[in-house]
Amino acid sequence: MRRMLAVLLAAALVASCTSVNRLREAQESFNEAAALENALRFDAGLQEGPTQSGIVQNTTVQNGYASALLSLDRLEARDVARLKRDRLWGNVLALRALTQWKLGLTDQARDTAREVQDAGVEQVHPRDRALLLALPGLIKTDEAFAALQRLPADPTSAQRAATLRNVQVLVADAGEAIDRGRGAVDAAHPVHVYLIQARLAALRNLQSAHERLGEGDDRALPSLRRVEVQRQLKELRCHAERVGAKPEIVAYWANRFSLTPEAGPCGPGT
Amino acid sequence: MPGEAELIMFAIRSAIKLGHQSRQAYVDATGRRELVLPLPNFPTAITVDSAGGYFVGEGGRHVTRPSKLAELVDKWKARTPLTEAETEELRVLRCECFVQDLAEAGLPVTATDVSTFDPDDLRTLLTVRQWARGTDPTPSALQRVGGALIEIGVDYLANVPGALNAGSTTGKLAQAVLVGLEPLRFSEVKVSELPARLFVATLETVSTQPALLTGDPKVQELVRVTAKGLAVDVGARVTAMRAGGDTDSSREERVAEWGELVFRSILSTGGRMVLEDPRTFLGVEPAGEAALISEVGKGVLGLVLDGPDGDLSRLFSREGVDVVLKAALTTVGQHPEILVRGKEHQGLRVLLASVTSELAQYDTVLTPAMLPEVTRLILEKTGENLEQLWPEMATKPEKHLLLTAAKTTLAILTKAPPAGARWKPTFAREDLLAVTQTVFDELSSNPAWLLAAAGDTDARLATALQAALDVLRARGTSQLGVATATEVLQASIRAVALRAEFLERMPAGTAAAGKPVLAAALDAMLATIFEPPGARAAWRLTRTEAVVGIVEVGLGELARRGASPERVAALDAFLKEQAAGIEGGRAWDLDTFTTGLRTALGA
Repeated sequence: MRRMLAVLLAAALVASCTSVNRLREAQESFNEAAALENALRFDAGLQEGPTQSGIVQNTTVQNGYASALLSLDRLEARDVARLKRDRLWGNVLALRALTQWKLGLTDQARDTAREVQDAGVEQVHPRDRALLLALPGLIKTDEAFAALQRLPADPTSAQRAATLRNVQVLVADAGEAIDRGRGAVDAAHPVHVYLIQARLAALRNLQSAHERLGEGDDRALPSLRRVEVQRQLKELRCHAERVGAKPEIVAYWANRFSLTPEAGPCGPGT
Repeated sequence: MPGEAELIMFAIRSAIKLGHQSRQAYVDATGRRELVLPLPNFPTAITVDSAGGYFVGEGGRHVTRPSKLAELVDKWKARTPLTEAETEELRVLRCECFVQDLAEAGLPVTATDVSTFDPDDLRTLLTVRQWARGTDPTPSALQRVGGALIEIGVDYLANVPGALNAGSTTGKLAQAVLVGLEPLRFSEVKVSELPARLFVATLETVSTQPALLTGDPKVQELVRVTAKGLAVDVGARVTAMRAGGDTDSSREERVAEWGELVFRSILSTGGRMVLEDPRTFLGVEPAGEAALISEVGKGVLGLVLDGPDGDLSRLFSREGVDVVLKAALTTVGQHPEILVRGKEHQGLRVLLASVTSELAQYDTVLTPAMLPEVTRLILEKTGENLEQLWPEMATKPEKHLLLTAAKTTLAILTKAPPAGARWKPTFAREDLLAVTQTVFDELSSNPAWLLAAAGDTDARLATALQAALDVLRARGTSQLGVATATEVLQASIRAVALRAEFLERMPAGTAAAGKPVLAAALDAMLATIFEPPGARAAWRLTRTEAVVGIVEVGLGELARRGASPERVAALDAFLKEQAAGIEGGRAWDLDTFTTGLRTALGA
């Protein structure tokens, strides 16, 4: 009797957990792919261009993201309803948008991210809200990087000027989106550590564009942007300390930019 | 007490409440699950352009004119191609100057390019929680389950009035379970139904165990440490099963069920022992948390669940667990060093796991419930003679002489009879246990023989048992009962333990040349008994007490006087003469037989 009851309850529990299980599968696949991508990226510090392309094209990484998206695509209408009832819809949106972004489905990723506006506040939790708002900035940063990658080995001055202008616009847009994401969460939220680095990644593309495409004194990052990088480096230091990360990450980024973090103690907002 | 129907209704309501809360906890855990976030693409390398841009911008203060650096920077700025050496020089200069910048800014100077990270650091940096610390509005899994437990407690109270009164003993014990479970993170301890199982088990067990209702605070401590220890162990098992991809909900449920069963057994069977000696069983080790009682519980759980082919729950009943647990507690109570010494305090667990892997195969449909009893025998005898029987406890806990002996004994006695055997019955569980116990008794009470035989105990035992069994198979008839054969085997073991000469080989020229003396002696006795000169002798000698008596006296006298081939021949002649006498109408009894044999062997 007891066993039968347990089996019935277990069956009911499993049936009611299908939608959540799909989400968890997707989380699992995404996390594995992202961890591998991060490891490849930070291991590949000294190698330019080809390594970056290698990360983007890495089959294991791509399969991981594809698998995550597949799990989410399997959600049926009743699963969606159940996830909304469970207030997990924001998790699904964030994961789907991130996965689409990493698979190069940028238009779809933007569309998914826009759904955050329709989803109620109770559906989208802080980290996911910040990520969905910042996602267009992550896409623009990738576009800036791709624009630099597409340049021929010996570009004409017109090509250089056009590409630099393009990257400047993309990075400016990226900065705005990422700042919107950061503005959506408390100053103490750990997602800042990620979003600051995303911002630095955008600025690093801008710096590279100036160094490669600028003319004369414009072959360095403009001074206002340098100040911005230094401020971001300070914020990264402060937030990293808060989450218990080692300071090497600040040294890493400072070295990329050849810039030191802004001086001064960490305040409540940093 | 409530009736069965009420209890079933109570169980249904409890299960529904817990099921709902468990699912909700699962949903919460999914919502708050950490995500590893990938960064967008950016140039990771520090190139000559990085160096040039630095000196044009922030590093401009390092560029004095005229200088080689200024020349290089001007060339780079004007896009004049740099040689390889110039490129390298510009990069090196950037590095040196930037290190200076870092030092002047009072920052930790790193001359090297920090471009790789410890994987753990990277995970910390790019793995992001849903909520900032302290802002998660969802209750923890334990809170959720705890809430359901409160409801169940209330429900139980409705069935058993007064049971959960905070001032009552039962109420205090129920609280002790919750206190034991409170520090655990049930997002990590994977079986969320376990707390309820332990909670209900406590309530049910104490109601049938008056000894636990004394109000003694030690009982609460017993409940607390045991609940915690088992919950952690069960959680770890489920985690490992999931990591290995070798699980499903019914297997996980079974692990939880056995965790509950061991918990009940500890409360009911071990409770009294623990209360009589709380210092030993509830004493806390320096490491902090591992009371002996919970370690024993984990060991017994391992015995049930750590079989070579998965769990062995088919071999254990509630009674089996009680038997092993009681023996384990007794042994550990006598020798706490079994848990305290050795490799990470794993002595008992390793021994029990070895028992499982070595002996589970002998627990069959024909010999059910063997394993708990053999385990009990091993544990009890271990307590009597720890040093000799488990000499390498600290370093190789899996090497235990009784375990080896049990394996040898069972392997020989459970083997199918050979094709030409005359006597073919198989030994039942009780017979196997009786012989095993005799083997253990002799190993335990004859340390000198044991020590002299160290290293080849297994070979001696195997030789003796196999020789005795071979004779039984060859000479026995339908008149030889299995119980009688078992006593013959026991007598053989006892004789060999007294006289190692029984295992020496018979000389060439004798009928049993090359066989052990034991085999020759037994053969002489059983041949006379089962192939007598006539019906009168058969009638008299094949009676159970006569068979056992003759074998015991025969082997006993040989052991006393010396088991030589000559004495075996004398025994053979004496037996034949006795059988002929009976057939001729002479009266016969065991006392007369004993006296006559002594005379015959003495001559």
